[in-house]
Amino acid sequence: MKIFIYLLVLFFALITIHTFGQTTLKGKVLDEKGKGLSGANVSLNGSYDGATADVNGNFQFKTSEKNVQVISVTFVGYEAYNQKVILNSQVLEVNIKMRETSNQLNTVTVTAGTFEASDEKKTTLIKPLDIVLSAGGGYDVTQTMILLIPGSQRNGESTGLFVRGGSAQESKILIDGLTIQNAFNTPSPDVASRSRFSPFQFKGFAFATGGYSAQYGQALSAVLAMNTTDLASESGYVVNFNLVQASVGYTQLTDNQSINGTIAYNNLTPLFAVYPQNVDWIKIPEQLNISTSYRLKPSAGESFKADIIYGKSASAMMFNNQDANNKSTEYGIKNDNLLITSTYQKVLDKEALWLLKSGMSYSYNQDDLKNGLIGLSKTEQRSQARATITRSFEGSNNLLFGTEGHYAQYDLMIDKTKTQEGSKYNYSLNDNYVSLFSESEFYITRKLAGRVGVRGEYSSLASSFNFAPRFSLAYKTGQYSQVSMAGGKFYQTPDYQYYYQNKTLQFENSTHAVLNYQIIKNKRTFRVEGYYKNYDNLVRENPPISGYFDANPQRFPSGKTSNSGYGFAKGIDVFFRDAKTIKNGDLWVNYSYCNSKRLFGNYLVEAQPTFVSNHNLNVVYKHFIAKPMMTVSATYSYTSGRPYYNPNNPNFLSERTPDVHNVSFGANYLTNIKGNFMVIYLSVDNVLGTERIYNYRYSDDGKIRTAITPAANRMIMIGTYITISKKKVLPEDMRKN
Amino acid sequence: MKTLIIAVAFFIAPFITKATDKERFMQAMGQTLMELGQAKDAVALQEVANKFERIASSETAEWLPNYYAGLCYNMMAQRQKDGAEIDKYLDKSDTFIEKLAKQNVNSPDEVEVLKAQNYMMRISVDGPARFMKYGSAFEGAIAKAKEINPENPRAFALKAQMTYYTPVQFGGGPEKACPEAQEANTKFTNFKPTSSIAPTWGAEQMKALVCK
Repeated sequence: MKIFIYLLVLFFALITIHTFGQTTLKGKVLDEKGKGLSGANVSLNGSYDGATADVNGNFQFKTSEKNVQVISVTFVGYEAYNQKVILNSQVLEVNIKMRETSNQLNTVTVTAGTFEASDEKKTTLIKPLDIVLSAGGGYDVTQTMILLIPGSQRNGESTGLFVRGGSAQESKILIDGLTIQNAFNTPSPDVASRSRFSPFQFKGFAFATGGYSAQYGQALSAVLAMNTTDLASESGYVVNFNLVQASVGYTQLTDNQSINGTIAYNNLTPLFAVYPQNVDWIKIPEQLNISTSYRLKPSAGESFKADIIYGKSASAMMFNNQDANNKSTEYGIKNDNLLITSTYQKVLDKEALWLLKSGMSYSYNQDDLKNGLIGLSKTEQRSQARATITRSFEGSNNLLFGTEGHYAQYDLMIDKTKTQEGSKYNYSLNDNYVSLFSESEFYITRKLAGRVGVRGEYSSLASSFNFAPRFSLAYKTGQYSQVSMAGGKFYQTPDYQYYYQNKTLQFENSTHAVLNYQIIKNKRTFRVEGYYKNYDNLVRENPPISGYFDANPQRFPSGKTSNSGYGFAKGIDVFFRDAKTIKNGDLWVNYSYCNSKRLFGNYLVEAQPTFVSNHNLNVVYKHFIAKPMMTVSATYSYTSGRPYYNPNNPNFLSERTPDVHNVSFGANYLTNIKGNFMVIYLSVDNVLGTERIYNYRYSDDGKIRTAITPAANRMIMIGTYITISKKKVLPEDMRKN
Repeated sequence: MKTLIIAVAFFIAPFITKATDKERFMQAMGQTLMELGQAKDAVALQEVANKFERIASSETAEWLPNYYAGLCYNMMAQRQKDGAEIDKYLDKSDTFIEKLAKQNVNSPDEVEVLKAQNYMMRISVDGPARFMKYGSAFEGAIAKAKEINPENPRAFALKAQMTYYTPVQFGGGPEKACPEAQEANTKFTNFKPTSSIAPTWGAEQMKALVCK
């Protein structure tokens, strides 16, 4: 019994301690500026005890927990806060300062020279969908990039990306980090050709027009990096047909893998029937594309992609090559292109600090060209491998190491058996290219960040090494604005065609300096960027006859060559986007000013290149209409006149073509057919039918001048895109309840 | 004899305490759920969310506190106007879904419904750009929920809601949603929660969609 009483006493004693042993915790939860954080959750780990901070950030609660405990504070948009406390039955005051989580509003991003487009990041400027919805871009990735992003210009008669005074050779296109050797269809003379890719293949784009990362090399001017889509989201068919193309694709999705096969056939006959052509086609362009892609996602941190794209095309036209008789000759193209790429990516550890990215590719391109009586057979093959490993550190800092290796083989056969020369010439070259690079992104504070990298390269063709440092700095000047700068050294192996006759040519190089200011506020973006680019070691051809200039874009380089060329480009790019002022409207304006001169190729003196215009303006407006559901867009493009060669003018490249204006219109009507999503699209290029002269070409004797104009004065495209799948609905704009 | 009693008392004491812990949990959950039912404004909702989060941090074996905390943040996201703010609250809600993925959940269908709810809200921020990604994720989550439990009324209700707010051109609209809402209503009538604190919400929202 005694023991029982003893226990009873002990029991009450314990209860007493329990009641009288409570600690009162109180204090304030404040943000970095000292403002109370209403709603913050203050809790004692491992117990239910805690409180919610009031309007002024005050909190107070009682707890029976004892000794050393941890209080933790959480709040939406703030980093969790933990603090050890000693609870000793008294009143304990704790004041807490919370730090905002790093987000795109409060943290600076390194942006100089690069425009990003992605669905992943929540506030990027351009979404992949913008590519399809912008009039005048011809549903082509590269053409739309030119319209939407300042710094690049559209040269209607030449294929490729012309960025900030750079030639098409100086811009590289990458897919998942892998260099794409023949990103564009083999062009016919005076007709700009499209890229080989569909915008739907990609989930994101980064267009770097200057001062870009050490991850990229072999580009003196620009890099367009495209990232392919991940695992498909559903199984089903996609059917697309328009005036030039019919395609069908099927995707099969199982748990963690998807496979897609697409076949497309292009034939320009229907289009040419609708719109008369300025070009005399002997064989209307015809193309067959077969592609397949495989995606595997074994776990959240691991993914494997493989893509095979095969294309076969043929066309032939009469090309006015301007000999003294002003007679046209036949120009025919037969092209075979194969591209195989595969990438593998894996998070290497549990904390997701180490990330491995790797890729391999093989490409084969065969062009059989017929230029009058001369036959040209060109084969380009490239195998490459690439791997990067990134280590992340606290506070968004990281360190990257990478390597890249290419083996390229170029074969050329010139068949002159039908000409007076009567013989065949064979040329062959190969290039072993290796590069190592390292880069680090670091945050000194959330307002000040930098990126520093180095890249070293060796090319057997250029038989030399290069070492290219790159840097970028960004400082947040206000809640919505930031300034950034970037610079570095860029190297490129000269056009391989020069090496057929001269194996001693070394790397060409450029130096960039970029200064950028950006303000993004309330669905409006303003961005201005100034740049200076210096070119050195450019390849120069000594003319076979002093003072002779061959303006033929198809010419095969001849004569003595050396790395004695040089040049510069400087200018200002302005970008403005407003998705606010007009409801459901989206306005894009970009303007580029570029001043560039260079002595390179077969130029006689330092001059503004034929592919550079001083002023470029693009205004794109898109509007979303709810009923009937559609998007309409209109684009105005202006390109000031470019230099052209007049053999009668002693001042080399001193004359300018007329300015080019272009108004285009596009509409997409979204509907459904038996519950399947369907888009009907229409686009008209050069609605007003204004005359567009891209260049002038003179006959050999200089007496006859021909204007180079687009293949058709006006272009119309109409088509439909249907997705057949089990998923029958597409909510365009869901209203909140 | 006394020694025996003491010995037995000492022996069973931990079990009694354990039982009261469970009771304490049930009581705390019941109380907080009642407060959730009464929460009218953002401040009250935040308070409730915080309570669930605190219970969750203490009761690591229980899935319902994480579930309700995630649900609260979805509800708070619905009250935001700015897209970036909506995303912030959904990010927070997703942290609870991540915790649920590591837990032993006896009604995983409810977690799928919660995922679907978050996907639906993500779409509302930027329909055209996000539909590709989150639209199929939504369908996937609903399908999975129905597969786990074909009688879960909330899976049907959410689908009906999605259809209701989908434009007619895309096979949506009130008329299409009507039979779906009716089916959901039937499921609600027949629904028996597994415990006093298991999810039962959603029947009220369905009434708004009832056929006209």
